[in-house]
Amino acid sequence: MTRALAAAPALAAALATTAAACAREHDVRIELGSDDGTLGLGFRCVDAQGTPLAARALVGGRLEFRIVLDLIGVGDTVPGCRGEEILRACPRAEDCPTLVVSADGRRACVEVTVAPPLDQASITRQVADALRGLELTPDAPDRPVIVRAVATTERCDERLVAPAGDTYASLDPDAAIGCAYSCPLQLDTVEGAIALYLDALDERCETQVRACAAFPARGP
Amino acid sequence: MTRLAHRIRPLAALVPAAVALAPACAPTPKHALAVALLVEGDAAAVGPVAPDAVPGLELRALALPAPASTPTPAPTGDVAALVTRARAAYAQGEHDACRAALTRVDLVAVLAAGERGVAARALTLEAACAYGARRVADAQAAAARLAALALTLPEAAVAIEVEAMIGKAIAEAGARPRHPLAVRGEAGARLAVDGRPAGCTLPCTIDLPAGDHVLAAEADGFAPAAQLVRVPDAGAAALTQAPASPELAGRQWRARLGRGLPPADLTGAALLARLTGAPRVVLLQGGARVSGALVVDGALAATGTRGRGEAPALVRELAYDARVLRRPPLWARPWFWIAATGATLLAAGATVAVTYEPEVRTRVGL
Repeated sequence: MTRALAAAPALAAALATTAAACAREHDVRIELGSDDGTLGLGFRCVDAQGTPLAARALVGGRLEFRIVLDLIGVGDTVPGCRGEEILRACPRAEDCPTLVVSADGRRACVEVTVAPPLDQASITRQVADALRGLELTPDAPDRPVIVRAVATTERCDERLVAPAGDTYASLDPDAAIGCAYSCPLQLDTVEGAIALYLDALDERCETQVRACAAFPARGP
Repeated sequence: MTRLAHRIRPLAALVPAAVALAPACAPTPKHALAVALLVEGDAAAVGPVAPDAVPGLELRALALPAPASTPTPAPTGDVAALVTRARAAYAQGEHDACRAALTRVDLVAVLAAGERGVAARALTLEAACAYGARRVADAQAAAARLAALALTLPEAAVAIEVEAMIGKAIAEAGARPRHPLAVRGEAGARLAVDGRPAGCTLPCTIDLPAGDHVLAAEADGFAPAAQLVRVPDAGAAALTQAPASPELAGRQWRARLGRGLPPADLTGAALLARLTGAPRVVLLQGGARVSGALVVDGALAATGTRGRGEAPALVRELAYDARVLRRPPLWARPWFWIAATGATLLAAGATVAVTYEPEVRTRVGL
């Protein structure tokens, strides 16, 4: 009888250990457009004069900019994809923080230099090369998040990549040259790739890029 | 996703603690109850049983009486010697000495012990010696008694006249009508008439020829009783048997075992109580398994069987079954907690199996 009783907690511990050992590995890939070979509309926006926002990153005939990737928490429930629904889920900036989830705690900020020719295919390929192998997080949070990618002329300096408490500094909307985001989702349940989009109907989408980059902070 | 397992672990830790506390909560009487303990058969199978092996009981081991094939044999050795002495006196013509020796023979006791041959020799000699002493009436009376008791004429050398007298008396007794005699006594007692089994147990009615007869009754748990009755003067007879002494009860119990009767049936239980003089008696019989019986106030209260060496557990179960000890409530029994632990683990396992969601480690990258 004593042996049977002594076995009870051991069995419970074995159950727990077995449960822990049964963790499932899962990979989710981020795509900055509708598929792996394109950049979405959010990275091809033009300003009111029809000048591509990317032109702001031109340095000596090359494009030099940074791409910042964030996971933004949206609370415990999963809101819809529309901007209005997202804003309703995030009435205050601190309700939807950019999460510190990388292995080293630093923000995913990648230097991108695009050499001529600066056609769309070349830009897409060189951006993809710069981002290849980038890991946002080894273990996605167990909560709904928005995945956002911002192309910016801001530097990957300490202010930008070092965590400030449980979040990161807001991005400067004036420096943004492109932006795209996913619907709010639970990454543990996602199968395959997540494509990022900007909610715009044509390439005159500077305003949407600014709002996207500034989120969760509100614009003036 | 090990959150569920974290919830189960504290519960599992509580189970052994509860089991450890449960026996302490089992009800036990304030004072231990004395129980006589008898061990029969293979004592090694029963194993040692300490006086305090069962909480709440004080087990007092008693020695059983030594095996004996029959109850107390009747002391007929003295009677046979008297008859032999009378025979010698008769042979030497000392008829008065012969008669004097025979007056000391208690025919009732002799016949109650079933010694019909001794009784026949004594009465034959009595007739012969009376005849030799010229007491013909006494001789005829002795012959008539022998005939009434349906004794057979022994092959002893007596005077031809005496043999003829006895033969005549036997013939006359056989021709006499028989008379009913109702005999009462301890229900179920075995009745013997004139040293022969009557073929019935008390109460019963038997038909006897006129004359003196010896009624004897034997019953387990009682001392034998014998009585002389005269038929047809007595239409009924009552045999009163005293309770058996512990020694006699022990011999009777042994004799019952020898006859293949159960050791603790209704009568066996009463005998066990009487031979031990204890209100509570546990009988353990060792063999391939250990069987036991608990007798309370002379009645069988519980029986049971266990494996070899499990005598204390068997005695405890008997005490519970006989209500000598109060059986602990369900929650105070170790098996309850073992079953509860098993059921809890089973339920936990089933819950985990149904609700478990393995932890997902999602790597997000480009």
